[in-house]
Amino acid sequence: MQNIKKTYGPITALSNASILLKEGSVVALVGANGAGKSTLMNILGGITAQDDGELLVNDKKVNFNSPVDAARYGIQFVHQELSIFKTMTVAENIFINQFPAQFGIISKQVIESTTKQLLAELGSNLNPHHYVESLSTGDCQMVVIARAMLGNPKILILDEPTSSLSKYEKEKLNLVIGRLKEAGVAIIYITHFISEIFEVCDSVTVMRNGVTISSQAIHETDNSKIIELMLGDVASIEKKRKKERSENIFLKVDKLQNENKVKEASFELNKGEILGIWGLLGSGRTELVRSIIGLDGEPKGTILISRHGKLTPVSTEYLSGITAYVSEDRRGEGVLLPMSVLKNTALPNLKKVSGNLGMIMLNKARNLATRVINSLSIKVSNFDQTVGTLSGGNQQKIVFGKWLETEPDLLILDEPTRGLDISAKGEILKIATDLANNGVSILFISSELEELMKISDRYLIISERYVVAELPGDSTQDTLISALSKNVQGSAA
Amino acid sequence: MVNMITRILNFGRIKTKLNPLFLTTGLMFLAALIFLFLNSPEFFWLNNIVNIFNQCAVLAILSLGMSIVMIGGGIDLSLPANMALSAIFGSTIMILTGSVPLGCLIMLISGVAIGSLNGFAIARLRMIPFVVTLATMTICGGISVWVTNSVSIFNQPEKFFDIFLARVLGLPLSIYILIICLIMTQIAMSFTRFGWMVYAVGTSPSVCKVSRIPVKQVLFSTYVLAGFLAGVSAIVVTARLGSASANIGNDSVILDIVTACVIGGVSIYGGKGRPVGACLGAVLVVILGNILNLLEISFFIGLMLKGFLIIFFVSLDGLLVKQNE
Repeated sequence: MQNIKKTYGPITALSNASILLKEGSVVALVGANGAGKSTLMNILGGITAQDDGELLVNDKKVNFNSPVDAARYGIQFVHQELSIFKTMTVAENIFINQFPAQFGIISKQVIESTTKQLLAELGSNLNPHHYVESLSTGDCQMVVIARAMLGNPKILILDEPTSSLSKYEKEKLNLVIGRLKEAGVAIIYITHFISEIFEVCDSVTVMRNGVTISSQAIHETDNSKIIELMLGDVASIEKKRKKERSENIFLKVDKLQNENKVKEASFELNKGEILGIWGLLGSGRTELVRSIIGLDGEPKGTILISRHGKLTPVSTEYLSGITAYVSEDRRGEGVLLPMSVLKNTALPNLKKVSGNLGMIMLNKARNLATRVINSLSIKVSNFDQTVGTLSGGNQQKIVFGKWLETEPDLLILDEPTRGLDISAKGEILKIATDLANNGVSILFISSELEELMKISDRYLIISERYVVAELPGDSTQDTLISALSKNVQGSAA
Repeated sequence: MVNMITRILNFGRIKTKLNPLFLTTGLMFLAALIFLFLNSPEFFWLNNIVNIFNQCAVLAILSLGMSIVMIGGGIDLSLPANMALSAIFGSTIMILTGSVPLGCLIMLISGVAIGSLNGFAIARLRMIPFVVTLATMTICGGISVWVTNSVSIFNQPEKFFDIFLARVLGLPLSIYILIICLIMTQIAMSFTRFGWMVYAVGTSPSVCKVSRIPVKQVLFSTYVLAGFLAGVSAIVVTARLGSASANIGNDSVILDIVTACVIGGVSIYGGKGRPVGACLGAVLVVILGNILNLLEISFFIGLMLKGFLIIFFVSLDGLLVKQNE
């Protein structure tokens, strides 16, 4: 693939991406969220078409209009979300795309013997008769890979194949990848776990902001180099906040644990402080913040809040009552798309805008909506406009605005700038710092080191579902990156 | 389809911001009235119109209940069976004790109790509304037949009929009950905290959960309210028929309710529609029934037509949802 470009409306997903695959070799494709990995792979897999640039297979220019086209050139895509039919057997799942049939009747014998053979090639001894719902995730992965193998792939794309596998299953997968390599298959291996790259891959291609910025053989690089490339050089970061802050603890979380979502987390948050939570995707950062406000079941451990100058244990429900949570899933958990700005801003403030007998006071609701629109300068024609028709940035401001009206003590921001353009990003960060200056304590999650460094007063390092370290606000980019790579390495050992 | 209707209207220079669903319903309504005007002008005699409203009171009250549940994103198939069982319980007590208020109270309580059962299973135990209420419908239907041996319960105290068949200012009491229910429901849905929460929950439970809306309580309440309205309709139907029986909750009633709601613009996908729409839908269903009678078309063909109507309106609704996305 050479110089691929792709834009979605005003957003450029890929500006210059190239990747080279050799027979029988594994290329790791890494990059932060939104770097363009998925878009690039979707183009290779025939799911979308590129705007510019060319795809060459064996030096011949090709164009794919559909996944079927791509399959014709031996390109198979194993998605992160396994497309599995739970109520069907292993064999049926493998043949789901192309049942061999005679006169419309499927020959069970043929599909079962072929299945056995395919699985044996992959080194798996699954029974083709077994129903998939009884299998582990690792075995499901095997089934999906076997399905891809059925198309005799020359290029196999594995999108985060290990994200939900156990250690043992990972090793099994590595063996399978080894066998495929021997058979001459070129593999693209997408992952967020840097340590895995060194176990199976021959070379690494790093993407950032829609550009493939580096391709290196595996022995020429190491952990921290890759992470550095992924996150990019952060051009002289200007701290948005002055250093003077209160040292009064507002929130203290002690030995929090929530099934396998959060293994162990202890930390403190001062009043008016912005605590940056720094970890890779899948490290458990979202689960951590959701756990303390009880959105993911009841966690074990203690949560304490400063009340009348004393730290008092509180329930997740209580904490949730004084917390504004800006979810990373804006469309799914942030705004009611088909509803008006008025109703969206009123949603967490219904008590505030209603009077006796729970009657809504339209005046109050309108004033509230107007206040939100004006204070965050949201671009809408009026408060009856449907939120679904607004831009992402303005939708996010609605989320902020509705929460601000609840006068929260704690603000949780989970990737608040995802999918926003640069000016909207800046505005969102500005709002956050203004709030902190007014005494709101903030937990801030971001995949972008630059914005994290801009406004955080302190950092919490999270890895593999543990809070592993804490770094002061004046930490340099290098310290932050190495903290992460050190812990990534540590957990891989 | 939606576009077509809007385009046709635009062509006629009727600029409108109205929901195409309402427009379609409105046009159907108009067509029905014109048809009646041409074929049987006596339909428009005041007496007959009063009669029509009297006929549709029960269906309209049930449809109001259904609209609340549907706006919250659920469905309650047990409403007619609930009504029948509540009518049977209430009538039995009324006859045993001779107390009209007690009998009526029992009907309301029974309706609320069955509604709570649905609400508990759906909101707390997270069961699927369709399955739960289908089961409650069967259970209530079973109890009704078992308790009554399929025999109608007559001989409610005279006083009961005196009260509920009374005419105030020339109109039967049932119409007043309907209007009160309609106004209360419409106010509750449009102007109270509860109503706004129901619309929000019907639109997206996950947004509501994050926004501190008590999703479970809200869902539970929608089924309780629907159950209460089933209790009210039990009183009205018993008075109008002069008896209570298992058959007043037969399967065709639920078809009528769903038809009334979907042609009244209440979205089967939740979060959209108005109780008043469901109520008008109920009137339209009754008028269509009258037209079919007038044309001497069989009851079963009528059922078939209603089925088609539901499919037509639900698909229109689906197109609308897609268009908005």
